Amino acid sequence: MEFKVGNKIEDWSYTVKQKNLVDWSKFLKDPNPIHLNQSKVKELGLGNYCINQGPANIAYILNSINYNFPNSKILSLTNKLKGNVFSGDNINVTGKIIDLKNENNSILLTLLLKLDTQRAKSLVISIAKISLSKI
Amino acid sequence: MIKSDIIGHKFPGGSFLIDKDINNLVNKSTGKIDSLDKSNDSHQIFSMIALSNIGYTLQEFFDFLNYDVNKGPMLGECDIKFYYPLKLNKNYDVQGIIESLEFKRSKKIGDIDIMKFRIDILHNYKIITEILYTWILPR
Repeated sequence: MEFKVGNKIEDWSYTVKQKNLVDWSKFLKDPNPIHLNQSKVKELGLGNYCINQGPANIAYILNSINYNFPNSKILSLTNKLKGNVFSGDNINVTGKIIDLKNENNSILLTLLLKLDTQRAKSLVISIAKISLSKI
Repeated sequence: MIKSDIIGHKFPGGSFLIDKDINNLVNKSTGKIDSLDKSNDSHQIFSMIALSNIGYTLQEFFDFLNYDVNKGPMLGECDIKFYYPLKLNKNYDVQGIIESLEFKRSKKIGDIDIMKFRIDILHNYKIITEILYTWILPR
């Protein structure tokens, strides 16, 4: 990939499975029923399917960065979660380079990344700063 | 109603270790195919999974806040600073503090409290990762 401001990165996609939500509830020791109980989600008026854990959505963003820049070092990641990803959703992470700085032995890139599903756009909006070694 | 005197509250703290099996499971659960590179770095998302090691379980944390988890708390924002990678088979300490609590009226989901807290992950007293969380707590 050519590093140039405005250049898009390759999309990264995944289909969220209910088993993933069960696993994430264990990873996080998270009792929140919106991840496990579809009826509860409906009762709260939040949708019709179980809601994916926020950190899992951030993991997809990280995966997209790692996929596109496998030898990079992620320095920071700022995330705004604007809506819910549901069990069964097809997620797609898109991104582009919005800033580039050349340093002595490295290139610093700033990326704008967005997580979409088939239901909605920009459910997560992230800004990542990454470093790539020139050596 | 959330307790009003929580700002500045420090979590009891805890520690964790990432082994290869749990790292593989996390990779698999997020669709990451290459499970581990030669560097022995874990998935960066363990910086957020560390939330389960603050010295409270999430249920205990909500109990401490006097907040009913059945109201559906949500993660609104998080800012992560990665100073060093989280490596497999190393012990990490977790510290945290509640920084703010603010009431807001949301057009979409009604009355909410917005709570910000910071989590630091350390190894030998050196900060490895720092995360500022913003959680949305429907009333």
